[in-house]
Amino acid sequence: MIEMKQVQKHFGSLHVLKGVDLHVRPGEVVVIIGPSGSGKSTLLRTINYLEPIEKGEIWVDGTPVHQHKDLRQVRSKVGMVFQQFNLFPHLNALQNVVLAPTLVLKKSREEADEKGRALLTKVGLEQKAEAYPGQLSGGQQQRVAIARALAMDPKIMLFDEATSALDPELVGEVLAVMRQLASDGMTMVVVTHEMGFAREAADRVVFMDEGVIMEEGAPDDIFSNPQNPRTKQFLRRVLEK
Amino acid sequence: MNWHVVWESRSVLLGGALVTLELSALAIGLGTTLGLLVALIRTARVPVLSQIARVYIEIFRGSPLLMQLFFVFFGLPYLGFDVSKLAAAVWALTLYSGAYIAEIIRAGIEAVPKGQKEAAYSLGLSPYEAMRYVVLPQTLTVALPPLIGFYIGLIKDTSLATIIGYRELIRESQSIIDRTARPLEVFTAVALIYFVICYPLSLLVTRLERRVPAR
Repeated sequence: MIEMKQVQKHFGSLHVLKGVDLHVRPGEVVVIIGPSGSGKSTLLRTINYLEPIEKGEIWVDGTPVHQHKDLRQVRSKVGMVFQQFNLFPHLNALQNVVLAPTLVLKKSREEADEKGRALLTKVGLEQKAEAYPGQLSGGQQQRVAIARALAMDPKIMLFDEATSALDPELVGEVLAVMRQLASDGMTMVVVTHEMGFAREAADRVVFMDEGVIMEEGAPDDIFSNPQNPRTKQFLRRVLEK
Repeated sequence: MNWHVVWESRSVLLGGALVTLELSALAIGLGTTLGLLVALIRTARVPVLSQIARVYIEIFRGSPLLMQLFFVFFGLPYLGFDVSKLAAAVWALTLYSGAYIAEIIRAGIEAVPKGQKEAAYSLGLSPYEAMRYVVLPQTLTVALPPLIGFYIGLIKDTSLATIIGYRELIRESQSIIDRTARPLEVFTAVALIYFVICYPLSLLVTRLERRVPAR
């Protein structure tokens, strides 16, 4: 579903991705963990070309993203959820959800609305369809953002630290929606600091540091029996907290 | 004080006021269209065009409107273009206001967080759709108060068109004064007319600024 080969990227003189290979199968849930500045968010953002790459190849569902072709088509197949939600503040929850389906998929208003309401119900916000982002809590906003991404019927969902900007008591409601999606069989790539989610929901955990993948494997192996000393050190630090 | 003079000239004054309104509406409409276009070129960083836009802005913000009026009115005929007084006034005011409005709108566009555009792109929207449906509506809330503030200034600046002989409010009042020798009364009336045109816009700005944008 996603095929990344030797992906390289610099920010100025900073070498953020030093040749990353990643392969994601259909229906797989891959969770990327690692310290801040390890390049994991950047890696995620290259998948839908929000970050251009300098070297390497990225194939998404058969389309060569690195050639900068059919970008709109790729992006409409890849949903993305951001740390800062990025809801459109001038539109209410339902309008946020139906904007792209009506513009990009040319759906009729009625069809998009019906599907939009169904998705808001799925994330537990059917009562908030007419509320504006400013009237919603962070957790509610993030759930609307998930519904907005799902409205495009994506084949892949990307989560970029989707719970990092939330108050601790609101993290659970967003993780619950993400778990539901994972068990529905959605292909997901998740960058997170939530080790509990990684352990329970991931099919595979990828540990990144200094722009490379240091270690990857089944969650049980990574968390109970890490091989790389950097992985051990990182897990010891985050799990102590 | 002899207010009788003003009352007798009321139809001339009102006629002048209408001409001022017409000139203002044309300058605001055309200047805003031009300004929006230039702002989009600048923010999209279109090569060459965006440099031209920048030079245009610097020239028209950096020279007096009065000079720009002269240049259009006397310069264009010199180059072989025949311009009426109205056309010269509208051209000069449009070019002048377009430069300021472009910068007001650009500031508004740049005040919209980068994540908004990223979210729009990630949903498959084209750059045009992202601008039209996501960025510009948010720009409006930010840019509207300074924009209307500028419009108020522009309405008053239309009075400079009197210098090329265009018969707007000031020009008409001059001719009344020439006839009646009552400058104080006539100018008081003129000031009042400008105030009546501009004050509702000032009120609108105050109202818009009190409204906290929902976020």
